[in-house]
Amino acid sequence: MTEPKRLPYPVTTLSVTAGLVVIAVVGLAAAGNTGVIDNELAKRASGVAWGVLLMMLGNFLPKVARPFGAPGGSAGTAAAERLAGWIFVLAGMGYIAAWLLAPETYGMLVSSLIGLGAFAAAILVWLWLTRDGSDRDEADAGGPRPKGAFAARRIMFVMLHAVFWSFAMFLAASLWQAKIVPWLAVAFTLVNSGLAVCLVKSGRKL
Amino acid sequence: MNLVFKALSDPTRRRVLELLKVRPMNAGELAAEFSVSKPTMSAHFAVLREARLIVSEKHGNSIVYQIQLSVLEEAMLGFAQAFGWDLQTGQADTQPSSKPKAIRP
Repeated sequence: MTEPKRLPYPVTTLSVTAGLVVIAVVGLAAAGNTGVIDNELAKRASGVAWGVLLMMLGNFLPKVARPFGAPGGSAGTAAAERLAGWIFVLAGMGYIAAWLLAPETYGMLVSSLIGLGAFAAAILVWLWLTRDGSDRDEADAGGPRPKGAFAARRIMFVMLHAVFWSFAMFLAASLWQAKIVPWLAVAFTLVNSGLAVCLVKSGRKL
Repeated sequence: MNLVFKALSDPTRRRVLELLKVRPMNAGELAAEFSVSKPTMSAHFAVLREARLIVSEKHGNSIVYQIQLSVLEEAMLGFAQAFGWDLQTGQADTQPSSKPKAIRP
């Protein structure tokens, strides 16, 4: 019996979480700038929100597993994605801890390094566990795949990509102040738009 | 979350998940690991599917099962294995959507 043709439920949960984080961050920034709350408190609360988002993405990453027999995988793909999920969840906890405990001047720097370090670790783990390069899965002998199977993975990938760029911009802001951030924002918009187009086009073939 | 607790409360289902963590397996391979009837195993698979802990896909004449645990669910599985969660009824609840009476550590 195949799964019903619908998006796996983590997609909805993740989209809602991401939306709430964006609303929280924007609201906190506005509250801090207008003096409703202390600016430092607003920054720390925003940092906690980003950490929660990273933890949610990590928690659900193994839930959007590559369909069995789908091309492009290897013996270690599932294990790599499961381990990456744990890395992001633990890094999210560290990210939150950094924002809650680090001194004011170091909060953004330390948390950004933790976030970017998590991505680096996840990539290294993936490269190590998939190094054999062979697809051990049987040749695809099944019927048409549910479209939701790959759509959820594309959405997860786009979200992780956006979070990665956000951490990079936070790090750049803490190191070089605000000078480079607008350029990074432009680069992120261009890269993410191109990525979304490529993913949508590749999705039409499945 | 109730469905997840129920799915993890049975040692047979936990063993199924441990086997699927290694690699996807078809129904026959999984059934061969246990000394229960095929209808009972099918019921276990149904409980795990209902809790969204595994997904199934038809490949040729067989059904292949793949694990689909979130990090939190994997942590709960480890906790359940370590502390031996089991239903208080003393036998495995293999009915999908039936409410377990209690879970004892």
